[in-house]
Amino acid sequence: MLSSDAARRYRLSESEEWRKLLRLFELGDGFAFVVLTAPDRLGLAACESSLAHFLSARGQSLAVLTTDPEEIHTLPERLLSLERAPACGAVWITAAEDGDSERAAWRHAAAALNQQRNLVVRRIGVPLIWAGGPWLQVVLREMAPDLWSVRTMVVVIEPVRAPLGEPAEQRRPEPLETVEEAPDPGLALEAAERLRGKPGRERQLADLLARAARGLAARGDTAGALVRLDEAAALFAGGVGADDREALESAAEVEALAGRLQVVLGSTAEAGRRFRQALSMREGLVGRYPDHFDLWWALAASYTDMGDLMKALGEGEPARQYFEQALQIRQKLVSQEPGRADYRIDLVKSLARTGNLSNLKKAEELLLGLGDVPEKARLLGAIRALQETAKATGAG
Amino acid sequence: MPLSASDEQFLKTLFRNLEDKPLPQGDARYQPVYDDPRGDDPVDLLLKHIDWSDVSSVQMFSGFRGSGKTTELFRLRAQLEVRGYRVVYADSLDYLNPAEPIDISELLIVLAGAFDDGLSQLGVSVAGESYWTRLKNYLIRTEVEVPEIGLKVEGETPGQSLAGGLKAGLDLKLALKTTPSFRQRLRTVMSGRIGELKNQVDKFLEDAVKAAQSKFGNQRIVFLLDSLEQIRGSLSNEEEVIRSVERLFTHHERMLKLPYLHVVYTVPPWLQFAMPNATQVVMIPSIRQWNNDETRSRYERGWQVLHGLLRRRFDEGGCERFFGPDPEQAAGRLIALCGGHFRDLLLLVRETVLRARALPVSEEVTEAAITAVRGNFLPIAIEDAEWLQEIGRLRSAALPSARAGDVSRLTRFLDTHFVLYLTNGKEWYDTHPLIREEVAQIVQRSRRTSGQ
Repeated sequence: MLSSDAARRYRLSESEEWRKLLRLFELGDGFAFVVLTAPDRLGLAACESSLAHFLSARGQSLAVLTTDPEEIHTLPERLLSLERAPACGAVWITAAEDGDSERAAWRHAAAALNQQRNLVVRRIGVPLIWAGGPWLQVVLREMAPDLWSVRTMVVVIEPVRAPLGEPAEQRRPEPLETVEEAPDPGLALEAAERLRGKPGRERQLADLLARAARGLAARGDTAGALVRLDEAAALFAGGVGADDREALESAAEVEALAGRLQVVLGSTAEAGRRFRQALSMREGLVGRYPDHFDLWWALAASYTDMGDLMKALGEGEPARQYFEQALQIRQKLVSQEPGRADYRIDLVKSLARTGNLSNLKKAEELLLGLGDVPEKARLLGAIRALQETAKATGAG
Repeated sequence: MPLSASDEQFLKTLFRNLEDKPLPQGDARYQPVYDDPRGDDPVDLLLKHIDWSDVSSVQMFSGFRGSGKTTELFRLRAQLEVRGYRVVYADSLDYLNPAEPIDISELLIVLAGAFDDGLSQLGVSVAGESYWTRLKNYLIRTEVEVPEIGLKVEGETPGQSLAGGLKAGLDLKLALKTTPSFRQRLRTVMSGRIGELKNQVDKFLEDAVKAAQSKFGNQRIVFLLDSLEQIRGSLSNEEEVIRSVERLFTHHERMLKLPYLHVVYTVPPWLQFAMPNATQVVMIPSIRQWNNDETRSRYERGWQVLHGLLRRRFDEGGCERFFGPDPEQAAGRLIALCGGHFRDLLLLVRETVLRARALPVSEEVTEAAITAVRGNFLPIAIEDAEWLQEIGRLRSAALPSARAGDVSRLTRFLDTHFVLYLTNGKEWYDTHPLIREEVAQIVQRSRRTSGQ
């Protein structure tokens, strides 16, 4: 079943590329070789799940070849010896890769399958969809040129971007929390109601409203989240915990989150206002408490928010400057606290935002040196795709 | 207007007609390409050479991926048969492993064995025994005074040992293709006896020709051995395999001549770069759409061929229904960007069909299809873009050297259609129209960044 995250992020039913793939099943017959790319595992899983659902509605099934790292080298034999069910409508292969060794294994598998191209075409008999990151296209072109030359199509799936200046449907903003990570908004709101109207409890109420807003945002209720954030911001602005470092941090977080939700809604002017508010608060905080690394970390996040907004508005030079400021802070944080994986992940993101090859290489090395962290695979995929683009465009 | 049920059926039929596969001779979708009197037709070149060679000949035939090689080979066969030749066709991949190096001893055996198998299908038996049996007996009789290899029984010769394994049930033909150890032992046994093997093969072929003549009269025989170009190796041994194929055609060229037979081998296209002074390879060029001048002025005949190819994929009135009242103009945008490659034209039209939401298709739909197919060529590395721009400027391969790395890179460009091989009496090269602008922009950006 498609997760709500995947559904919100990819909205395949509205994707022209996805519709093109489904048209293949409506118009075509027999074998077809389709290369499908998506930027992350979520996208690939969304496509696999959606295609299975589509085929099921037609009384057909999707045969999925498992591709755990230790199974990649047996892919050609397994594909050619696949016993398809009579109702099989397509065969699916996901080429996910988490590191150099997996990528090398996929190159070998592509080369091996290339030698059997004629056999593959004769034997499979239904569309074969080979899905992976953007790197897959280059690998197949170079390592499996015979198979590549008989491709029916390449399907490029990208997450939906809300056009700026236009209202967008409610959805979870990036890079905020997933439903699993975010607080339960119901619980937070229930607790907040118990504190409402009670003097001296305004700080706690603000914190609970902010907590509820995070949960609502993760569930796609952007408008509901903003209402709670505005109430929390008003409580903070009303002087609650004005000298309280933690309260000020919370207030800045509220502004930053509100800014990101305004981006989702396409209200860039309001987003800019909220981001600048958060930035100003955080600059004040690091000025007063310069030895608190977490305050610097939050300041870098604000510079990044501003940079992202400027970039989205086409303001390249201001964006670059904000990204540069965030990068400098994050580099210092990593040097001061090398054991903090979250600092290193953020440094990777800052390096990637510069878009130049040498920084992308540093980002890749930093990421590969990390242990098992949840975002690692997704970020590696994104960095490698950026590297290919940077090479092609001559960026650094 | 949205698609009606009739439109859906039309698109379904069209999409299936756009399927990319070799066309058998006589297929209505086949578009004659080579009726230019200047003689660029590769099949015509092969035919003339066979006609003029009288008794026997050796030719090499090649083309890059998607150039229509197999279709043209079928056309050659049909035209030879019309002229009264008896044609035996064999696919070398039925006998050889494309992932392993190939030795002259194996090729000689395959030539004789494949020819015999082909004749058997025509009802011709050579002295009542197959070549494979003859070979087995030859190996058993072979005495070699070298340290034993694979001896099982004292006093047994290596040849007996090699063939003895076959008595245990191994099929020689199967062993040749699937058992690397058998092939290695065969090479070792035959390494000092290639001349003898060649005589044995020639003798068999002589008997085979006689047997064929006794059945068919004095028909001249042509042997087409396909798919040698697919012997490329795998990631781990590609260089070794490529070198072995190169050795076959450079060191053992004389051995490739077969008595009383006209032979056509399909060979890898890179052979002409690796051995420019050796035997000429007859290559299938891309359909030429422009002249080799500064402005790439239009070559009308090429356009007509591609328009014709497209029309044949549509039913009566289909072109107008799909492209609109002026289909030549509307389809022209796709034809202009296909680079003269059938596969790329079919890809562009298929992409347009899949995006069609109304008929006739709009300009936006065709542009979206072009953008999507262009994306298949990306990204392009800066070094590649620089070389590609040189090729486009000079209209030559601009090969930096004959080293394996450079030859391999150029072959990759040609195989993936980044570079087109063209002829107009003489050969030349150019870049694919889909990527020219992109290449120029990449080089320009790169030079700006490096301050050139």
